[in-house]
Amino acid sequence: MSAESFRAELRAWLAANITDEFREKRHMTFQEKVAVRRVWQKKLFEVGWIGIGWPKEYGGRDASLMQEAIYNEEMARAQAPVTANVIGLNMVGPTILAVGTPQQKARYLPKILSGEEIWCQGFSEPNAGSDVASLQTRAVREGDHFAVDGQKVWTSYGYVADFCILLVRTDFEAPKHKGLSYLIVDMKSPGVSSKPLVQMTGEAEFAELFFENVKVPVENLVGELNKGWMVAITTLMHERGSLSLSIIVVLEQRLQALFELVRSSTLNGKPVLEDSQVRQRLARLYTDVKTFKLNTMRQMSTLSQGHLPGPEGSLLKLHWSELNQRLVELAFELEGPFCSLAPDSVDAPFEGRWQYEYLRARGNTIEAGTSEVQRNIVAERVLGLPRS
Amino acid sequence: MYLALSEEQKMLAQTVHRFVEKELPSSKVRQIMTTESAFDEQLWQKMTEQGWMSLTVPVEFGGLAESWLTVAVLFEELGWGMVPGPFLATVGLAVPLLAKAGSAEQKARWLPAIVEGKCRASLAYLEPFTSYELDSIRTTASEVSGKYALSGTKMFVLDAGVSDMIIVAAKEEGKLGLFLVEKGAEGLVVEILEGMDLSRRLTRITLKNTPAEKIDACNEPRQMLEQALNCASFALSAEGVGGMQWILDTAVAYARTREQYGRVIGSFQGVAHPLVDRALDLTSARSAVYEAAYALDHRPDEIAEAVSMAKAFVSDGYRQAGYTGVQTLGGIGFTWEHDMQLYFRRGSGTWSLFGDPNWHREHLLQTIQM
Repeated sequence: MSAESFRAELRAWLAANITDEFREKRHMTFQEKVAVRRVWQKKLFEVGWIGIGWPKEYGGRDASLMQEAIYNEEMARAQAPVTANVIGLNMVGPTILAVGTPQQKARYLPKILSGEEIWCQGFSEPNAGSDVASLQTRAVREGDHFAVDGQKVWTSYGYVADFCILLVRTDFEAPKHKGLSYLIVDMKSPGVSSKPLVQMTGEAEFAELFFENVKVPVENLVGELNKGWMVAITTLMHERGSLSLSIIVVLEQRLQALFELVRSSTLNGKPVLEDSQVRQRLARLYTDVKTFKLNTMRQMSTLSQGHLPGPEGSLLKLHWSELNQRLVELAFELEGPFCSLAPDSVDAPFEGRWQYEYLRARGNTIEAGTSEVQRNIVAERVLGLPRS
Repeated sequence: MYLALSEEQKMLAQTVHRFVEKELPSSKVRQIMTTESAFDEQLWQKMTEQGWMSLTVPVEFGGLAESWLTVAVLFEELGWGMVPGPFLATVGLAVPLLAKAGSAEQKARWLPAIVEGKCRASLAYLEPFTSYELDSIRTTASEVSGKYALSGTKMFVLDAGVSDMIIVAAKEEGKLGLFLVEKGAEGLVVEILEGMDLSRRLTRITLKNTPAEKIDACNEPRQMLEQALNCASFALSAEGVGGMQWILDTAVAYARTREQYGRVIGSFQGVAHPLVDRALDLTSARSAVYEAAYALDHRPDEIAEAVSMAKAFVSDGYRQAGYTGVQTLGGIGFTWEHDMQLYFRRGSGTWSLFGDPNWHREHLLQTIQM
């Protein structure tokens, strides 16, 4: 299919199919939002407009990188709603594709795409944040299963997920990176419990997870026993790399919203659009979003030439997280005295959207590895500087 | 969208890289910089032999008319190597303008000569005002029985001291036009200004009833001028990416070996993290430049936007790289002796050439109807 007919087909489909039922309302609970996202994702799945870069046999389209780029542009242009299974689509799927068994691929991949099964990622623990490899959740082999005990925290989608990729310690004598294994855990298993964890936004997007003598079948091991760290790295690389593709859409939509805000706002009696300071910041943000997109595509093009995602993904993660903070800060400031209102205030402009984004963005430089850790990774593994 | 260089482009990059390593050690660069015009005839001839003069010249005038992406590759490596002299003025600025605006005779006279390494050219458009706007041009052109004469003062003209021909933007009865002035023309005075960037010369030229030839093959001289300035901003930005790369390479190499407090200084996060930020700047700068090349090659409607974005980003990025470069090297970085200062000064000189980042960002917003 030519690039232009691909674009035209997608554009027409989006125009005909994005209706109000897929629009989240600002004050919905996280669970209500996820329910809306699920319905939208199912709709995309039914016509093959999700996971387009995945192999056809698991529900994808084997799309080229250029088609992925067009897909993202069109999703941004149409202000398309977000999908439910962000972790499944961007982290679990690529990891299972890379190292999963044929059975795991057949069992899990199609339902990740359809949104039928939502995933969460159980890596962080109360005492293992940036230093993930020091985690203490343990799994002991007992016949045909592992018995898992421990606690995870800051788990996005934790209390709505159907499955969890769980990083556990299986060798207690080995050095910390060498005793880990990577399991798929059914969240409905006896002994699993979760508790919503409220963020500074007031919303509970993530959770605490507890595992008490949870039986996990041995066939749910991903990769080899005690070599879970390498599998986790694969996931984290995708979190920093592939996820960037979908973040392009989010950022471009947010930038469009900021442009609208600038066009329609006045501050101290003057149109904001005429303020030279605002204009300079706006142009910088426009450049930031564009270069982020270009950086991502350039990096992905090396992947499609057969390279595995590398530590350069940390540069992308640094880029989007910090640029998103700059973007929402400008929107926040443009509200003048109204920016002092909380996201939930009935008097907050745009249903408190920018207040919410302002608070939420502070998590960007922490989740998926703090900016400090990302800078260490780039320093050591891209620039070749000695370990700090 | 740009995604990757071709094998030929990668080979060109290696060739240029090896050339500057071989032909332009620091001592040679510094020797050329001390000459009045930062010009070295031998170097110019060697660059000519490589075919680099012909990259932006149309095929019918003996050039190669390479893609702008290839031009970016060339300028990037020349910028990594701190190549001194009027290459940017000639190949990046005057040639694109003449190729767009000149008559067939004018092109036939000058372009093949440039390809053969026999002459150099430049453009004079700014004047002694703090402005990048073409509207502030005051230099006048007057016609007497078919012959033109120019009067006025031009500032920040690149390498006019070694230019055989200078294209001058002037107003004829209030309307902007382009005129060709030859070296040694009557009433033409070229003064060399002391520039921040030591690798090429900024000049002031004064014109007093100076004979000139009108470039009257084009109906839209203003548009032609803007387009040529886009080409030059683009080439300068590509060169800047090379400079940013040199600074990062040099600072990282130093941070990997220099020891203080019994540790290699690159193991201190306070040293390492700014270098990471410069690596990100460099990645983005390169993306912006390659995207501008893509626009120049394939998307005429997007050229103005993409070039302004690249020029604004690289200009700030090059300066910032210079700050981090000097700081990482510490005492030695602040010396005249270390080449870091050459790149620092070139980055600072690049910042305002062909429009500073603030001007380009404003321009960018206008191109996207904001």
